[in-house]
Amino acid sequence: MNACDAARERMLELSYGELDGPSAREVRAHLEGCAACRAEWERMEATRAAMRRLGPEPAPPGEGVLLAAARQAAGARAPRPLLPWLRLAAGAAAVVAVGGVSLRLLSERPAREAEAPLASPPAAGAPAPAAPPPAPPAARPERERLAARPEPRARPAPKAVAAPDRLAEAKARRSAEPFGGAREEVRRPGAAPPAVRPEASSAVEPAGAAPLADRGPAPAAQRRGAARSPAAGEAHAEAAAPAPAAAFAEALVAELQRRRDEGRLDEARRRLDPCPGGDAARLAWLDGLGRARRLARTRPAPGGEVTVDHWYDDAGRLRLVRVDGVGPEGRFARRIVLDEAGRRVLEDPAGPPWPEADLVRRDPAAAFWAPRRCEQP
Amino acid sequence: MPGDESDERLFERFRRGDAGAFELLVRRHRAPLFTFLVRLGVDRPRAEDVLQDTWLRAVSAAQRWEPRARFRTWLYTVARNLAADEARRAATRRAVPLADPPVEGAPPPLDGAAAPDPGPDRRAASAEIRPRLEAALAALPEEQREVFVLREYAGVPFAEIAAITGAPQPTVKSRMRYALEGLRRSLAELGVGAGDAAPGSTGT
Repeated sequence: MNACDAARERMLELSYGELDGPSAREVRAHLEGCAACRAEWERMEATRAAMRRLGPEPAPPGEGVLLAAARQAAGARAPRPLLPWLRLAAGAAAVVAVGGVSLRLLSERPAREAEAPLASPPAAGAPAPAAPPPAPPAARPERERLAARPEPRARPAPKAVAAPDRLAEAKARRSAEPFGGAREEVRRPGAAPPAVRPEASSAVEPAGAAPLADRGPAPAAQRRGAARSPAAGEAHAEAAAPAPAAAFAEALVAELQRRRDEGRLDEARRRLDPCPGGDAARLAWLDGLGRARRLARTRPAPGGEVTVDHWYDDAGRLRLVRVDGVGPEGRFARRIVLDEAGRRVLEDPAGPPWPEADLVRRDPAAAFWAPRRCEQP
Repeated sequence: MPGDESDERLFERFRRGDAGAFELLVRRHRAPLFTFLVRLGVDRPRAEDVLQDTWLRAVSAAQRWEPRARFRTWLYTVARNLAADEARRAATRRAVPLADPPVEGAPPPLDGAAAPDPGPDRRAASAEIRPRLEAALAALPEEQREVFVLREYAGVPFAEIAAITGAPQPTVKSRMRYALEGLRRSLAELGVGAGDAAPGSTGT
């Protein structure tokens, strides 16, 4: 029986090719002479053969992102004769770059993956495209930068309407997609160059660079479209009386949803190791340049969990937060709408203001890629 | 063919800045790792998440890699832990799915990931038998299924399975034997006989 035990010990290894030549021969010799073990061997082989019919699973898409991430990471380490200073900087920030900046530049779609990070860098050496990059003041419209900040330095809306050229400039330089709500829709008919007319744009421009609401009609756009497509004059009236906050929020969601449906925003998701106070899951919609237009963070909460879902306009300003959670008293939801200056103009349902510390007002892409933050006991 | 260079050498090359080496690793291990996750019972969208997360961790890990670990062992250990986290979180996530905000005007569910088409030939050949094989696999106790899937579908040797699962090698092999025996019984009950299989073929 001992020989049989020994043989059966090793049958598995023999079957999976893990035995060296002499050992394999030994086991095979035993099988030749032992009917019981041979029967066992045949059963095993038959079972394996049957189960092998399941075959391998084809790997899902996503390899492009990995390889681009690897190129970024490797590039940060590889010798770079032309730009030694850059290598130094990259080396110092290498870990951060791998987890953060570089991945933000990536898109699932190979075409954009190739062009997006390289085609139109906002400014040479700008580290984080998702945040307003710290560039020379002369290089970008000062007013846009200021307006993107949350401090209540409210700029009168009419000024922005009166400065389409500046915005067009900014667009050209940064491939930005200003989503200023109704005002933005107004501005374009007058200021936009021919290339951004409906349909004409898609073939010419990189996917990330097309302006809002200029793509072919989607259901969401049609719902809102009636008020927007008419002549500039009518729309001007709409601009003078800004749409209610709730309608703006709805339009923002619909617009970003449409871009997502059209593949102009990529969805990225992360699951994180659970820890007290830390995010358990994150979701982001990233544009071709890796800027997040939506960021949802889910974390455990007493008695359940809470998801805080941020929506950003084309200038990167936080305009809508949707909170959704389950707590000891059941399910709750909250909607917070913010204006261009970052003030909360609507909190629905009313109640104590949602903690400011919970909102990601700036650089949502960085928040998406950041390591989880745990509460210190 | 990805070539014969060891995983560890390739990863070392990647550490030194050769992205092409990483590509070879991805080509070599990405599909088997995904197969491992799916056969383990992780549903596809989550398996895709875990897959991607695992590889992104490999990219970041290059900075502080300690060469004493085998690359594949590391890879499967990370994926296995992430999958276990997924399973633990599944219950709470069902209560409030991240992809399903309740606010009016909310977008449709974000999980668009359907099962990929297996291709016409496989579809035809496996239409009847495939669900039964999957059922047999699903009927195994988890620790047996894990060992079987790692060895049979991911091609991980027993010694590495021991390292990945944290069980001694004899335990791993004993789980494997139980798994094969359990599968044989299930297949018989499900009416999949040896005649359905291609006889005499021995895997590697």
